[in-house]
Amino acid sequence: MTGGAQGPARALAAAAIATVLFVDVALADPRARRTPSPSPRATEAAGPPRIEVAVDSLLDRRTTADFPHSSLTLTLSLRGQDASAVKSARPRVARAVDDTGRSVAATSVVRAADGWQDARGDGTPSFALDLGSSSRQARSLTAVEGILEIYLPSRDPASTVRIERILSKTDRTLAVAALASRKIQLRVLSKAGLQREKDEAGAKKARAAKKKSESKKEGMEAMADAVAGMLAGTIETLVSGVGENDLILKVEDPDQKIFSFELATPEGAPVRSYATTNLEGYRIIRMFEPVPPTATLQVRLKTANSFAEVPFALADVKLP
Amino acid sequence: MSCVRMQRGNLVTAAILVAASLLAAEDWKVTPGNVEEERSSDGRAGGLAVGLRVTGGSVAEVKAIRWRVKSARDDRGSNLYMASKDDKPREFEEFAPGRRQEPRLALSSPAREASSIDVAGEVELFVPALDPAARQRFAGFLGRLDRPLAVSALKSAKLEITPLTAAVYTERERQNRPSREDIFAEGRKHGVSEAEIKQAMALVEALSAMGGEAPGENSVLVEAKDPDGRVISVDVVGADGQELRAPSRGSTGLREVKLFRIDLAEKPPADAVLVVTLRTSRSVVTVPFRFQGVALP
Repeated sequence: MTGGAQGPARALAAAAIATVLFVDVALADPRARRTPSPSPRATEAAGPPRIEVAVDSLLDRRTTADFPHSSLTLTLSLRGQDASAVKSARPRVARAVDDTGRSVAATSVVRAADGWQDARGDGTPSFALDLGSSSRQARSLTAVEGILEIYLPSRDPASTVRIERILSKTDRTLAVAALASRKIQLRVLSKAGLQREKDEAGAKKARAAKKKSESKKEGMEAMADAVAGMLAGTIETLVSGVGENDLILKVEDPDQKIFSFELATPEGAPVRSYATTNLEGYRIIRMFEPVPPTATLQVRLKTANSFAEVPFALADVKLP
Repeated sequence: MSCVRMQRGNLVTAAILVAASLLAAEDWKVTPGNVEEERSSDGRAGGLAVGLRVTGGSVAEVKAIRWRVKSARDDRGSNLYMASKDDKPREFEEFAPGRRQEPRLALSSPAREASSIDVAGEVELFVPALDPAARQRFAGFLGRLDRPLAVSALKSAKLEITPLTAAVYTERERQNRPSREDIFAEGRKHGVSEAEIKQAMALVEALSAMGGEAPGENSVLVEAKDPDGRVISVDVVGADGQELRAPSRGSTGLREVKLFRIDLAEKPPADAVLVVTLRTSRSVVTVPFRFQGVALP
């Protein structure tokens, strides 16, 4: 049941709660995390990541209903020297066959628009690999082969921008050269700042509505009014949907260079969030508890050296 | 004039009784619906669910359903249902024909080698049209808040229904909320670690912070003390009997004390009527079922 270069791996029992707590509810633009093709030279320079892929557990969902379709999900865990550095992964299946000869490579399960999943589990990151339904008569998967695209920001120092004591820098555009050089503008909004955004958008919408009632407009002008209305709607949604402890970021990233955001303690230990919501230029980091005043915001950027690919070939995976 | 009125009244009563007896005698059928199964390699999830489809000419009159499994086996002989002495009758669930989510029997996972199952049991259908006493109407209830409704039909059903003001509702809701200690104790009973309970509680708190709004002037708030679980639903209608649109509704608590909150689209009129739908012995029809050779997915 193992693949990769470093031999068999143990099965792990992941805590049930993890599946609930690390749901990625990003409503992201499908292009939000588009991966640049890793430069072959950069990957060679860093050397291939020392990672092996193993099957942790399987969940076979079977149904006679038309929707959702039956599916088989493998939880893959990563082992090896570089495994714990993997922040996100996206599996691509080339071949998956059960022992009756049925191909299960195609699945109808969609987890996120771009397919990237954040690592679950401490120390041993795990990811879901969704397949089609196996035959009921099948006892095992004879082969599951493919590639795991992985994001390892630790392999490229330029991929992480740290902004210390983030809560002391609210309601102004952060002056960070590494972000500015990538045309990224970032603001942390306080509750008052968000309210101001709401008021401004509301006033803009009202002005647009007043103008509309006074004159008949067409073309660009009418479109600008429609945009003002949409923006006001977005901020309204934001204000009503933000939890007490959530961190709200206003993000301008025209070239979509941002991969993700994380919070950490000054010592670098992760500060846990339970989800991230993307909403039209705003990113809400959902928090269990208030963000510590000393917390650092880590902006993870897409750089060629921070991505890698790990091929996997699993054989004789017993079905539940 | 009074004679004509009396005759009309007798005719209406007779019509209801005839309709009720026709409904009661109807040929209700319960057949298997969708079959869904989860098989997990680590035993964390799993089980088989068999949908129930109810048919019969007046299925639109069925408003709630509950069921009891007597036996369930796969074609390899595995027992898929173990009755327990502690099993209590299920609560009735709201029912509407053609709803996407069918009522579902929960069974253990069959063997992977199995290809079909046999299941026997009975379904109870709540058909309020069978008994006029199943729907209790309370006109002018908004003028009598925070006092239990004094009606013999409720008393005989061991029921206490109290429409509440927002202040009392909020206080009762706070009182009924389980304490952190209760939640920890319950979690420990089920072998969940303290860290996991803490995380789950934080998640629930964060989610409730996103959606928890205090009751407003459009809210109709009701407390039900219902030890026998007889209340099927609580609704609000206009004085003319027309339904008042309620974009959001919900309930919290258990039989002992349950709080209902109905958020109407508009402030309810002063003459709004509270409708409490109750399970009575005449409003329930029992339909046995025996499914044989139900194919597994």
